Amino acid sequence: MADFAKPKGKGRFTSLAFTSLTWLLAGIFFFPIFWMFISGFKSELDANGAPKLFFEPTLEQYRIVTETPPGQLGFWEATTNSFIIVIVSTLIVMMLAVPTAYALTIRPVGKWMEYLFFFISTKFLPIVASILPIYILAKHFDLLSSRRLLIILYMSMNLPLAIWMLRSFFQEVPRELIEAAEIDGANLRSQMVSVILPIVAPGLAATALLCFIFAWNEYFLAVQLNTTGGETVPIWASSVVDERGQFLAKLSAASTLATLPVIVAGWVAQKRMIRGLAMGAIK
Amino acid sequence: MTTTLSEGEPSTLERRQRQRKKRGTWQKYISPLVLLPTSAGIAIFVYGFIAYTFWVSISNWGGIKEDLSVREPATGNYSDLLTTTRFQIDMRNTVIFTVLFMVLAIGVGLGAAILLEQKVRGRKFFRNVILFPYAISLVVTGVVWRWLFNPEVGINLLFDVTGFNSVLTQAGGSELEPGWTTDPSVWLQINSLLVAIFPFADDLQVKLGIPAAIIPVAIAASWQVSGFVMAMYIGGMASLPNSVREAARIDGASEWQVYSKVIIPMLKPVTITVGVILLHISLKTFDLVVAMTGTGPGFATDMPSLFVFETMFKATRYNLASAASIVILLFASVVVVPYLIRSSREES
Repeated sequence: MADFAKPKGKGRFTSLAFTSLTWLLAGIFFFPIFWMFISGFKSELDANGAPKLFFEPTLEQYRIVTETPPGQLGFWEATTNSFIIVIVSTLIVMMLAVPTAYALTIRPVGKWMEYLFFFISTKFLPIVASILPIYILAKHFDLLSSRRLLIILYMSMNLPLAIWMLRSFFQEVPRELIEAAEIDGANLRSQMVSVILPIVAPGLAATALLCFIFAWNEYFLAVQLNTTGGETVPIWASSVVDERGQFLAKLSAASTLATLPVIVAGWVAQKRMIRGLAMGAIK
Repeated sequence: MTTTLSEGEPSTLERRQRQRKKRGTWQKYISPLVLLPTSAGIAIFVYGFIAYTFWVSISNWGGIKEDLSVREPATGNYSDLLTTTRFQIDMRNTVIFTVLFMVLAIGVGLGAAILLEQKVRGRKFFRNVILFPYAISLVVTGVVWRWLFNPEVGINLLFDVTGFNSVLTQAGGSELEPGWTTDPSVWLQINSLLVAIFPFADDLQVKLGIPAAIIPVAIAASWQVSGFVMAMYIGGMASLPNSVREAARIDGASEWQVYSKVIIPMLKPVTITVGVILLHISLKTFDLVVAMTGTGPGFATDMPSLFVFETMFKATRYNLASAASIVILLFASVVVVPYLIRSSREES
C-alpha cells in the first residue's frame, strides 16, 4: 500500500499518536485470546482469583479436559471426527468448484453471471429455514449416525463460497496464455494442468483454507442434527462449557485446543488470509 | 471466415484453425454441462427445502406424528407465533442486536482500516491481530467473553484494580458494578408511547426497549467480525485511485475532510456489502449466544434461531418452528434480494 500520510511538519507527532492508537486497538483485540491462552495453563485457583500475570504454569487442565469421561464425547474422538469431516468435505468442494469456476470464467456462457448470483443467493439465506427438511431427509436415509451427513452439508455450505472465490482467482489468468496454449494444440487437460492450475495455485490454497476454517468452526448444523458418531470439536467445546461452566482454567484449555488447528492453518497461510477472508465474506 | 493460401492444400495454420474450431464446438458444451448439475442441486435443495418449510409452517404438524394437512386458517401458526411472548422478545432482541452490532462492527472496522492506512510501523502485524478473531469459532468467542463479562471475575475487576471504584465511593457515589449479561433490565422502554399512538400495542407482552444483557453479546460479536469489516474496507480503499486524495488535498481539504467528504462516501458500495453481510450474520446468531449467555435473564439474549431450535427439536412443534424460520427468512430477504439483484445488474 502506498503511504498516504501527510508530509507536513507535525508528521512525527501524528505518527506517534497513530502508532499508540493502533497499539491500543490491537491490545483490545488481542487481550481476550491472550488471556484464554494464559488461563489454560493456570490452576483453577489462580484463574478464578484476582488476575495475575505470573503464576506457576501447569498442564493439569489440558490433561483433565482431554480425558474421556465414560459414555461421553471425548476430545480425541471429536478431533478425529472434525478432521475427517472437514478434510473430506473441503476436498470434494475443491473438486467441484474448480470446474465450475472454469466454466464461469475461462469459457463463460452468456447470462451465467446471473447463475453465479443464484449460487451466492443461497449463502445469504438463513440455513434455519431448511433445517427441518434436512433433518427429515437425513433421518430417512439413515445419515444421522455417521460423519457422512456433516460432510455433505459442509460441502454444500462451502461450495458457493469456493466458486465465488475461485472465480475471482481464475479471472486473473491472462487470456493470452490460454489462447496460446490452444493454438499450440493443448487439450483441455493439459491447458488446465500446465497453464491454469499453476497460476491459480495460491488461490486454490486460500480457498481450501477458508473452507477448512468455516467447516471446522461450524456449530449450528452440527448441534441441530445431533449426529451420534459424528460430533465435531465445537460440540465438544460446548459440552465442556455445559459441564465445567465455572472452571475457567479448564474452559480456557478446551477453547485453546479447539482453536489450535485454525491458528496453525492461519499461520501457515497468513499471506493469503486477508484476501481470502475478505472474499469469504459470505460465511 | 479465414483466408486460405490455396484451394488444394490446406496450410498448417488452416488445419490448426479447423482443429480448433472442431474442438471448440465440443468445448462449447463443457460450461453448461458443468454448471447444470450444481444449479439444479441448489434449486432443489435450497429452494425446494424452503418451500417444504413453508408448507410445514401452514400445516397441522404440531406434534411427533407427521401431519401435512393445511391448517384452518392457513395463517394459524403465524398468528400463534406472533402472540407468543418469547417470539416477540426475540424479534425485539434481533432488531436491537442488529443495530448495535452493525454500528459497532462498522465503526471499529472502518476506524481500524483508516488507522492502518496511516504511517504506522508493523501495519501487517496489526492487521493480522485484528483479523484473527474472525477465524476462531463463535463457541470459543462465547466462552471467552462469557468470562470477560462475568460480574465477579471479568472486566469489573478492572474498575477495582484501577482504583476507579474507590474514586467513585469517595466522591459519594456507589461502586460501578454492572451486571452485564446477568442484568435483566430493559432500557428506554417505549411501550406507553406506542400505546398512546396505536391502542392495539397494549396487547404486546414484551417490554420494547434495549435489553441491557444484549449489549455484551453485541460487543463480543463485533469483536469477532470487526477484522473482517476492516479487511473489506482496506480492499476498498486500495482500489480507490490515489489522485482522488491528491485532488482533495490540493483543494485545501483537511485530512479529516478528505476522509469524511471524499473517501468514506466513495466507499459506499463496500459499506452496503458489509451491511448486508453483517445483517445476515446477525440473523443467524446462534453459537455465540448458546456459549455466552444462553437465553439470558427473562430471554434478554434469546434469538430467533434458538427459538426455532428449541421449538423444533425439543418441543417438537414443527409447524410453529417452521413459521418462525420463514419469518427469519423474510427478514433476511427484504434486504438481501434487492442487494443481489442490484449487484448482479452492476456486474453484467
